[in-house]
Amino acid sequence: MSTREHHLNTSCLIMMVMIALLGGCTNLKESRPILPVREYEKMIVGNLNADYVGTRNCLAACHEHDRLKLFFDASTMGAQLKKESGMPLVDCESCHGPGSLAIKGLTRELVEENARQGIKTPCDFKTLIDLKNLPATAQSLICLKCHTHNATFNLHNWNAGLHALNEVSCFPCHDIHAGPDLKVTPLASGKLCFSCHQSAQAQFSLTSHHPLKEGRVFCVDCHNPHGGFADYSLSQDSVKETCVQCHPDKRGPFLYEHADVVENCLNCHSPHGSVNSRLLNAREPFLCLQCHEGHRINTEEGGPVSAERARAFYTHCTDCHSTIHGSDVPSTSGVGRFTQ
Amino acid sequence: MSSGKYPCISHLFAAGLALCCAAVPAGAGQERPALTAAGAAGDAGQQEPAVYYETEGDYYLGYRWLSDEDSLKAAEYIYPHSSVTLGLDLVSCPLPYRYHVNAEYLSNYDYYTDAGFAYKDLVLFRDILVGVHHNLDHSNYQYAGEPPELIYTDRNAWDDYYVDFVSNLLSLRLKAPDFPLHTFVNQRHVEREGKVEQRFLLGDFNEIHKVSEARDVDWNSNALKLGANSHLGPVEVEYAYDQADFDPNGNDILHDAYPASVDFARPGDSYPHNVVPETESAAHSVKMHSSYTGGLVAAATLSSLNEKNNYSGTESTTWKGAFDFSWIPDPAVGLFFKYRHKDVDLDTPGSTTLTGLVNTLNYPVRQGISYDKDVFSLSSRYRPGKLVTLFATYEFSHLDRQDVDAWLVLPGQSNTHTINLTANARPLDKVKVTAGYEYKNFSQPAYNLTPDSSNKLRLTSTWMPLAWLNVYLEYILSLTERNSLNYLNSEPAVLLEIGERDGRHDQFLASLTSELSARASLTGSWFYQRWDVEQDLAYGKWLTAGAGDLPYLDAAVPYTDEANSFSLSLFYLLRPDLSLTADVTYTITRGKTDYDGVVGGESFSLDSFSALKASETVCSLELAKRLSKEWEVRLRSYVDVYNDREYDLLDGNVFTTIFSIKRYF
Repeated sequence: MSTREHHLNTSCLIMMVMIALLGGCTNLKESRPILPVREYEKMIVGNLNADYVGTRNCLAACHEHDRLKLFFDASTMGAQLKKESGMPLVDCESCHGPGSLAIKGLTRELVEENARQGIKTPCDFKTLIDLKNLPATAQSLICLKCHTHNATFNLHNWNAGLHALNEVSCFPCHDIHAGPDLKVTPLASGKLCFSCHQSAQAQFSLTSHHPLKEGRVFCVDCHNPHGGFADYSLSQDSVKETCVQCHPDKRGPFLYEHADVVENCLNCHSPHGSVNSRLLNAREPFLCLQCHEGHRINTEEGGPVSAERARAFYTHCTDCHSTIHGSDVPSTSGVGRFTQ
Repeated sequence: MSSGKYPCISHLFAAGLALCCAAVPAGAGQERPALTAAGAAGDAGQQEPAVYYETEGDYYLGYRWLSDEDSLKAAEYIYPHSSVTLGLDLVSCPLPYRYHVNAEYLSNYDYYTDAGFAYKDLVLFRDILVGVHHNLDHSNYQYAGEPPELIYTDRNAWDDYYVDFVSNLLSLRLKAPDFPLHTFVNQRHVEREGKVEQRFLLGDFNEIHKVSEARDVDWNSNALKLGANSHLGPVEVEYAYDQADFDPNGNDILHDAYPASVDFARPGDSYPHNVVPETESAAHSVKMHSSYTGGLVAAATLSSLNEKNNYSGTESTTWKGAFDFSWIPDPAVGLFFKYRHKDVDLDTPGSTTLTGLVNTLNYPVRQGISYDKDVFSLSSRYRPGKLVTLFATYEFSHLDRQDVDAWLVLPGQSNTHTINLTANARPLDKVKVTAGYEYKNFSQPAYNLTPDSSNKLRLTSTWMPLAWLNVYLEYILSLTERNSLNYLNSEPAVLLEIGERDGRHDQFLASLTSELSARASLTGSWFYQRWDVEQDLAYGKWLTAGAGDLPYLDAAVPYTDEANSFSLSLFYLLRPDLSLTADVTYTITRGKTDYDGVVGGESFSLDSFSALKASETVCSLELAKRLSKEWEVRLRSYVDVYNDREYDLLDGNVFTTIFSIKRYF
C-alpha cells in the first residue's frame, strides 16, 4: 500500500511520544483514591474488627486448605504470593478480607494435634467476605480494584458491556485458585460459555456449523466476553471484521460491492449453525429472491420458460452469480452482476 | 504486501521494546534471592513457604483408524485417512517462569496446540495453532442441458474438494518492571490450502453455459497488531497499530473463452473472471478509560481503518468512535450509556478496464456506498430486592448513506428504534426465571430482509427440584412484519414498492442434567428451531412485444426451515480406574418452499429445486482405563451417519476409532 509507510511512521511517532510521556510520568503511579461505589465498597472491605494476619497464617496453619493451596500456588495470584516472582503481591486477604477473626483461638499446634486425631479444625470463615453471595458487581469490583491500575485493556469495554450489565461477574469464568495465568483455554471456553448459553451449543448441532464441537474453532475466536465495540460482544469492531479474520478473501473492498449488505454477514449467514449448507439463513433461490426480482419466467414470445431454463435460473443463483461477496470484474453486461 | 516490509514492523516493535526496557531500573531483571516473609510482611518469626512447583502433565501416543462411505458430508471436518495421533499436556511453574502446553495431533491436517510462557509479570507469551481439514461438497450437475442455449460442464466431475485451514495466533506482552506499562504484539496467520469447486457462468442471460471446475487455492493472510498501554494516573491509555494483508498466492485470476454477447455488445474473447484480489489494510486505534472501580466509569475509543484492493484499486477509509459510560449511584441502580460512530468512505474507481486476449473494454463503475452510522444506547438496571432485577434499554440507530442516487433500491437514511425490557427473578429458592421482550421499529428499511417492526419474546427458567437434578427451559419467539417490499425491476428500470413479508422464528430448548450418583451423570436435551417466512416474490416478465414489463408477483410464498435435535450424554465412573463417556446426538432437518405452480397465468414450479430433508446421527464412546499411577489406555470411537433424504446426494457415514496410551508425569 502506498500509504503503508505513512502509517508505520505515524504509529512509530505515536508510540515514541507515548513512551516518552510515560518516562516523565512515572510519579503518576502513586496511589490515588478511586471513586468508590460506596455500598459495594463496604461489602468488599471485609470485617472492620478483624486484622490482617498474612497468608502464612491463613493457609499453612489449616490443612483443610492444603489442596486449595496447591491450586493457588500454580495460579498467577499464587505466584504473586512469592517475593521471588517479582510480581505485585497479592495474598489471600486481598480478596477474602482480613482474617484474624477467622483463625481466632487457633494455633498451629492445635490444628496439627487435631489433624493427628483425625479432627478437622474449621476456621470461622463466616467472618471473611462472603464472596459467593455478593452481588455480581461487588464480586467484579474485588478483581477490578487491582486490574484498574495495571492497564488491563481487555476490560476496556467491560463496564458498559453485556456481561457487566447483566450482572455476570468475573467469578463464573475465572477460577483464581486453578491453573496458571487464569486464562480460560480456547478448548475449555466452549464448555464454559455453554454452561449459560445452552441454545448456542444446540445450534452447533445443526448439520451446517463451524467446527466448534470438533475443537477447531472457539467461542473466543469471535467473541470477547469482556465486551467490545460491536454488538454480541464481538472480538472485532464489526461482524465483517470478525468474519474476515478467518475468511480474508471476503475482506475487500471490491470494485463491485453487494451494496452494503456484506457489511453484516448475518444478513445471509447464521454463524453458530444452520439447517442449510454454508450456514445460510435460507436456501437458494429463496435467499436471493427475498430482495431481488427473479429472472424472467416467460419468453419473448409470451409462453412460459421451459422447465430446464427455470431450473437453470432457480436452483442455485450462485452457480452464475459466484462472486456474490464482491467482484472486481464487470459481468458480460458491463456492470457488476457478480457473474464474472 | 511483500514480506520485505515485515522488518519495518519488527523494527518498530523493537524500538518500542527498547524504549520500554530503557525504563527498567538496572538490575531489575536479575534474579533476586529468596526473601523471607519477615522482610515482606514484618513477621519476623515466619519463613515464606518453600516454592515447590512440580511439572505436571501427560503425553499420549495412539492410532486413529478411519473408514468412510459415500459422501464426506458426515466427515465434514475429519481428515479422511487413518493416522498416528499424539498429545501433550504440560504445566510447569518453576517460578519465576511458568509454562504450559496443550497439544493434540490427529493428523498433518488436524491438530491443536496452545503453548504459553511467562516470566514473572514481565513477559507473557502465548501461541495457539490450529489446523483443520474441511471436506467440501461437490455439487454435481445432475441433468443434461438444453443445447444450444443451456450447457452444463463439470470439468472435474470426480474430484473431491477440500480446504486445509491453518490458524496461528501469537501474542507477546512485555511489561516494564514495577510500572504498568506494556508493549504487545499479536499476530494471526491464516492459511487455506486445497482444492475448491469454482462455479461460474460463461455466456449471459440468453445463452447460459454453467461451468464447474476445480480451483487450487493457497491463500495466506497475516494480521499484525502492535501497541503499548499504560496507567497514567486518572486514566489508562492504549495505542495500537494493526495491519493485515491477504495474499492469494497466484491462481488469483481465472481466464476463460467467453462467447460474444450480441445483447451487450461484448466481443467474444478470453476474459478474466472470479478474481480473488490481494488486499491489505492498516489501522490505528487509541483507547482511554477511567478507573474501572469508580461509580462513574468512562471509556473512549477512536480508530481509523484503511483498506485497499490491489487488483481493482478500490479503497475505503473508516473512522470509528466509541464512548462507554456507566454510573452506579447505588447498588440497586445502574445506568449505562453507549455511543458508537462509524464513518465509511468507499473510494471506487470511476471506470474499469476489462482486458481480454484481443479486446480491451472500458466500463464506467457505479460509486460504492459510503455511509455514516451513529448508535446511541441507554440501559438501566434496577434491583429492588435480592429476588428481582429489572433491565430496560433504549437504542437509536441512524444510518446515513451517501452516493445512493445510482442505487435505486436504497434509501438515503434508515433509522432504528429498539426497546428492550427484561426481568430476572427468583420466585422460589430453586427456580430462576428470565423474561425479556424486545420491540424494534425500522423507518425506511433498506432491504426486504429488514422488517418495518419486530417483536421478540424470550423466556428461560432454571429449576433445581433436587440437589442432583437441574432442568433448563428456554423459548424464544420472534415475529417480524414488513408491509411494503422494494423490488428493482430490470426493464423498465423502476423501483417497485409492492408485496408483504411476515416472519416467525421459534426456538425451544429443554435440557435435563442429573448427577445420578457420585460416579455418574446424565444430560439429555431437546432443541427445536423453526423459521417461517411468508413473502410475496417477484419474477421478471416479457411482454409479447419482446419488451420488458412489470414483474409477476407470487403472493405469500411460504418458506419453512425446521430442525429437531436430541442429545444424550453420559459419564460413568465404572470403577475408580475405569471411566466411560458416551454422547449421542440425532438431528432431523426439514425445509420447504411452496412456490405457486402458476404465476401470472404461466405454469411455473420451483418447489422441487429447494427442498430439504436430512438427518444426522452422531455417536461417540470413550473408555479410559488407568493401569497404574502413571499409565492409562483410552479407546474412543466416533460414528457419524448423514442421510440426505431428499436428494441422496450427501448420504454418507464415517467411523473412527482412536486407541491411545497415555503416561502421566
